Amino acid sequence: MRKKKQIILILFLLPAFVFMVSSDEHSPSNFLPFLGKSLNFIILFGGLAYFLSKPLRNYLKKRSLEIKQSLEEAENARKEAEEKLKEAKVQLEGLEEKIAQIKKEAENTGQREKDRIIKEAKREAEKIKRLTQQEIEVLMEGGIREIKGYTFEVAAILAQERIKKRMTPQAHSLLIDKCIERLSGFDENSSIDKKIHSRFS
Amino acid sequence: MTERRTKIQKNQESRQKAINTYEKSINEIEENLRAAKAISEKARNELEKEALEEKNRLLEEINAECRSQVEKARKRLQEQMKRLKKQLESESEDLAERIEKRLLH
Repeated sequence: MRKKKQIILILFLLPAFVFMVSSDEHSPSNFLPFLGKSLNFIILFGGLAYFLSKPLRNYLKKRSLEIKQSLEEAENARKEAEEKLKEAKVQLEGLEEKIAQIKKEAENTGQREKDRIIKEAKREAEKIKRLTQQEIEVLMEGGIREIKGYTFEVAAILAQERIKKRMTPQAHSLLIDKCIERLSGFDENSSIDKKIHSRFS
Repeated sequence: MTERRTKIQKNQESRQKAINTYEKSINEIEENLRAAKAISEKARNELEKEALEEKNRLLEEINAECRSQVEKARKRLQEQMKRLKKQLESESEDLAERIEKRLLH
């Protein structure tokens, strides 16, 4: 408000100073042209001031804002870059430690894997041993069966030879009788047994 | 105006310098990390390979030992059977007698 009053006052006084010399040199009757010029001046510059002041003010405000922003942006970008650089430096400082950690982790993983493989191999080895033991047991059982079979076979052959040697036609017929009797019933066993015994003895 | 330009330019130069150093540092870090990872991977693979070799060796040893055990058992069994058969041939007389008695009496 005060600025406006000042501007209006300047607009009224300025033409008085501008046209002061010309008014002094000429006669007082020249006052009217002076007044006209002053009015013209006031209207022209007043109008210009009235119409241009707002856009000019806006433009200057906008421009100053842009400059401020560009300065801030440049400052921020610099700060951001410096911050990143600081981070990178920190990372670089901790790099040796990180590398050592990676190596240690890989070593641990490798060792764990190695232990697992060895453990698995030992388990497989135990399984193989168990299977071998079973195979040996099966072999032994087979051997025992074979021996038993062989024993019975030999005994049967020997028994056959012995019986053949002692077998007479009478004993043979008695043996057949005995078999028939055994098949027909066990009640009469005792009498036939006696007959057979008497024939062999 | 000049001061503003100088200030902005200075900031930009600082920024560019910081970015360049940052990129260099990052590249260096990445390269070192890559190298470390490669070395670690190699070491891990070596350990794994070592373990597999040990496993194969162990299993081969066990297999050979077991085969040998089975062979030994088979030989021992054959020898024992041979001996037993001879022994049983003489002892079968008794069994034959028992069979004969059983059949004839």
